[in-house]
Amino acid sequence: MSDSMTFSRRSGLSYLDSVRLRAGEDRCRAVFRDILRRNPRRAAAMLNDRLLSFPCLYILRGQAMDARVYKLLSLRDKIALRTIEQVKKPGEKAKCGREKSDPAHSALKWVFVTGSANEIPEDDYEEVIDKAAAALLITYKDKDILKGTADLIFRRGREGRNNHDLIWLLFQVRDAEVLKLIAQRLRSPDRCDADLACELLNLDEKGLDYGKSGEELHSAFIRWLEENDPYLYFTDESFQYSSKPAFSAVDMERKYLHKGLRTYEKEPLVPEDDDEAGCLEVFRQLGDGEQRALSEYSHSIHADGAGYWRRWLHLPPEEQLRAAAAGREVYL
Amino acid sequence: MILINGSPLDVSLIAGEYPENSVQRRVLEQMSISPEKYRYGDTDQLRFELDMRNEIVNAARALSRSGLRFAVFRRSAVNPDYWDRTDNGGFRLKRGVKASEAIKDIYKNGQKYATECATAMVIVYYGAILRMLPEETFNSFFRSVYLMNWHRLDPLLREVGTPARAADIMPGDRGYFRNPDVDPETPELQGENVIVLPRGVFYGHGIGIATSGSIIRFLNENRREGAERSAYFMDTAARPDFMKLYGTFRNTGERAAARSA
Repeated sequence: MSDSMTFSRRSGLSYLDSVRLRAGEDRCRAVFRDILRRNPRRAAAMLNDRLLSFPCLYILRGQAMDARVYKLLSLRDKIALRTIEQVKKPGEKAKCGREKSDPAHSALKWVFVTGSANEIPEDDYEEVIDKAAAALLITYKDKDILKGTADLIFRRGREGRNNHDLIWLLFQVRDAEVLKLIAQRLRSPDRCDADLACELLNLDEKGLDYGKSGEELHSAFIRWLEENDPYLYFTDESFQYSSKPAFSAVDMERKYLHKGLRTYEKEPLVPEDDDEAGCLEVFRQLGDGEQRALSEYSHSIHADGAGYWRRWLHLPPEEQLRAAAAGREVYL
Repeated sequence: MILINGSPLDVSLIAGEYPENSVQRRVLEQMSISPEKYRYGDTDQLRFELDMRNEIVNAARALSRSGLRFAVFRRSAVNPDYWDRTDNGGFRLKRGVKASEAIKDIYKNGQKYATECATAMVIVYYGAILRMLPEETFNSFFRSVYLMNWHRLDPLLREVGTPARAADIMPGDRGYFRNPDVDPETPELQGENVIVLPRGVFYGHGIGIATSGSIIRFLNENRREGAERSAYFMDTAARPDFMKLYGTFRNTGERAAARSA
């Protein structure tokens, strides 16, 4: 092993990556071409290097498809190359299993983890990364990459690149963790990050104060999330549908009747008895603002005692609203 | 029900102004039998909306014939004589180019352009307004144009980006077919934006003019493995703020008339 190869391994890089990052993509291709010409087996071993990053395989994909090398490639590399091919030739669908033990899972994870950290500014490259993210998050339900996906969304946003598909994908996971990851960006000193976070969390709709500092806004949102988590659901809205999509929402009926769910799906509320059906019927006739006021008040007083809550729930709606506006002391 | 200045309108008074089966006539009839109250200050406001809806339908039909190709934003394409393609796949009006010329070029040389379904809807609205206004007036309103789904819409068109539940879905409305179990590797097929046309058909970019059943079938063919939910037409509609457009364009027309007098 040459000195430069030893150095690159010590720095945690594969030899080819160190050439690419130090001398550029063209030089990396030239070096690899030379190795391939002299010793195809060695060339394949370099691509199979566990330290190799996906961007390196991507720029060398033409030579990697050389039959002398391809037959010696690892399954990881072959799956990654196949994913690139699917992007280049749309219409060919990926065939992957659903288990994390599937070799495609670890290969796609390698593509995403090493590939998203260092994106090559090419449309096809971005699409490969997005396809890997889609398969990992939806097919394999691998939430390890949630943070990496959120990072990528904000990075692309800062750079003026398209992040709408990735945003849609992230919300498809239907997990409150996604909202927490986005909320972290409210504290970002980068205005672009903070604005995008506000937009994705629909903070204006939630009535959270825009005048607060990023830190205060973050704390306010986390408190809001803790309160509303049992009633939260994801809507399927996206930037394809609306200029102001509500990616997630609170089920006011469930919050009003204190009937939270474990899932983040919108599931119709079926009353358990006539009493509950009556309360719900009245509630459904109210406007959005009134429903919000009652559901918030209902949540707040339920924590203090079911007795008062139940008495309040059976008041006529105008009295419920009056109590909600005045605070609970009125009826205690 | 149509209310003019608070009073119910006898639609027969203005229905005769429009040919049988015209978009205007259909919308007028739909509004008049609806339990929803459609309020206007005067009949000119109503006529403006009817004509604008007609032009939205005409623009949608024209765009479907233009050869405009379907492509995800990454592969979007423009005629560089008129538009700059932005890094996120949007179209930005080229400096020194008139908006009217650039919009007309999309309709004339559609094969030189490629984009997703939402952007095509915005192109329809610009096309419709261009049919309603003299070019000079159009260009005075739209000195800069940016086309990229519902992002950064011109203030005059802001409302087309925010669908809301609608009592009536009428020709000229923007509707949406949602595909909840779409294959995550084809996010562009998560849904289809459409312009509602008369006779139960829709214009969706990439699909063309089709029935609801055909659009749903197409979306269902692009679902993930094991999908259980069908694509469906949502009960929401987006439409321009016709009153705002009427007020803006009328004021401009009056100013222009005053200048020329």
